[in-house]
Amino acid sequence: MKHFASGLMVTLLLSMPAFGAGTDDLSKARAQVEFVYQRLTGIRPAAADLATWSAALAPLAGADRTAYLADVVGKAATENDLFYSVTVLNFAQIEASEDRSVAEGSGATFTGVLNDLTATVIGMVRDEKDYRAILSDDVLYIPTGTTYVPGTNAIYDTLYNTHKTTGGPIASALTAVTQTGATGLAVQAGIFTLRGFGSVYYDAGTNRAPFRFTSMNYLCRDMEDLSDVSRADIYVRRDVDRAPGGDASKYRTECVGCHAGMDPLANSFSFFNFVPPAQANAAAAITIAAAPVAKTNQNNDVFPGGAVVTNDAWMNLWLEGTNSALGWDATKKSGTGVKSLGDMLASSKMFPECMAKRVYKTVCGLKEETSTAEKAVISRLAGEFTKTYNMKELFKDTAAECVSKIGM
Amino acid sequence: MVISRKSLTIFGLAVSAALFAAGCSSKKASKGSPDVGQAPGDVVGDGNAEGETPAEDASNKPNNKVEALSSSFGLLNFRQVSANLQNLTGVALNAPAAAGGIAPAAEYVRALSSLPTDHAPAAITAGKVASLTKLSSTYCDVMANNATLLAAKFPGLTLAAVPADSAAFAKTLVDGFYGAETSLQGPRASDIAIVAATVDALKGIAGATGPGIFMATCAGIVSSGEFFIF
Repeated sequence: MKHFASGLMVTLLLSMPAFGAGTDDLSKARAQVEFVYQRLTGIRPAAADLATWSAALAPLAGADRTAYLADVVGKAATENDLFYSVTVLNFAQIEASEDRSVAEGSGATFTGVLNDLTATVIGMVRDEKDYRAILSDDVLYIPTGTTYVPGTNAIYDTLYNTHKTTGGPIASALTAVTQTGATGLAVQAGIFTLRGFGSVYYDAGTNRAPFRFTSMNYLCRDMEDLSDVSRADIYVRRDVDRAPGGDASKYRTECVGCHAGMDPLANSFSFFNFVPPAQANAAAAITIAAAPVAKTNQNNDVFPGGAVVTNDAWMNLWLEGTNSALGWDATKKSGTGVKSLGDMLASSKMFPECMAKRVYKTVCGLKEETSTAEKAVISRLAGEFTKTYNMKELFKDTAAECVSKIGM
Repeated sequence: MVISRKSLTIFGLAVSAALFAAGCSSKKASKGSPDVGQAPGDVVGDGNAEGETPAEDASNKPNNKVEALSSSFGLLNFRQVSANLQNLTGVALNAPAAAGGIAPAAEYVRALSSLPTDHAPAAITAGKVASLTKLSSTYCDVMANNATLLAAKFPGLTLAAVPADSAAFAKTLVDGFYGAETSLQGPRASDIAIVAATVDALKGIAGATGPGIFMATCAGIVSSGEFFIF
């Protein structure tokens, strides 16, 4: 088996595109057009479109060529529903599970793939909204003609199942509404107050997970990336052992690095909870209490002298110390609740950089360790993105930039 | 269908594997992209023919090549594979199975655990390629047995009998699926020759039928590297 796999690796290599197999301008243009269109939709363009675009692209050079690929080919690709139902869904779906995986749901009915979170991401990309709103605004997308039901995912499952089995569209079948009046919650704060987010991150635990995964998904930094042992630990909760395994230095040199900054930020989620239904198909909605839910202060006997969560106020201690240069918005040092937290995170420099990096990974393919050249491209894309925070433009620009990967 | 689905799937796999390896001669002489860590003019050898680079050259070892190329190319994931197969064949996921066959949707659900979930070329396994080919065969089977779908993709092509001219049949299918030639493709003539040879082999199976040969050939082409790698 091992040798068979090795053999397949070699055949894979031999199947790699043959640079220079056809070197005339038109065949190069065709390759670039196919590349951009396929990176955005997953499929090749129609033969007639390929011919038209290739003929127009072939005489162009440099920035004109890149602009044509983004503005004409990319634009057409983003008008195809597959851009949303394949590429943007791939982009969004990693946010809807703790293992950050892309999957096709359970069973033959593909349940759980499309939900209020992934649908709202798709809708905001489609409508070219200021994407910073994804973490704080009163925004929600639902299948057209349906009524949002806070406790179930049924309306989204029905739409996705129809899409998978009949090829019906997803993007054009979504309608923008507000969370107010739909979710029944007292707070409306982007994905934080949607079931697709809460059913994953507010379930059990201590409500640190929603902050950690938001940081991973929107700042592209896990907690160890933000670790700073120089921060004061006055907000570290009681469930964190100050001498794990009897070794106090471990706390001082490792644990506090994440908890000192994370715990005061995670407090913003302290009112949230999600209790999964006892039966698989029963309804269950996220809830927002008027005070911290018990789980945020659980295991309080580990270090009784630790911080007690008494409200949903948050504070960013990482504005100083080793993380101070990461691009936090210094005017937003503290706040109350998830809405202001989301606003703070989206106004950091890490947010556009992370969106550019994630889109680049989705569209172009990206290894964990990016090259210097790729980092420069991502930085440039992030800079462009900050002009409008338009994700559709970011996808198009990224696909056009990726053309350099095929060496033309 | 007289030929068993099993034997046709095996032939589909054979075509798929052959097309993964297609254009070996052109690849040996092709230039690597500077972006993938190869200097212009570097020769990428397959270790099997004229122009082969010394075996001791570490840069040509398969793992190094995969590492170098993995940041530039990716595999289609399961969602892209599904969209691509529907686009290539015109067969919807919920299309009913051909007589004696398996419906695409049923095979898709069955294959989900073994189709790629991310784009890393290094994650390719025999199981992924086999699953892709098997899934492709269900789409191609529906297409082979649906005159409307077949005519939409290949106007004038009839499958009433086994193809008399294997090369012409192979060219029709390769051109139909590949579309206009691009600079990323190897010489098409070698791909057509590989497919034609396989069509010849399929014709030699007792009880071979036109739809059966089409299905196996189609499956081999649409599950090849041309459509699996982007």
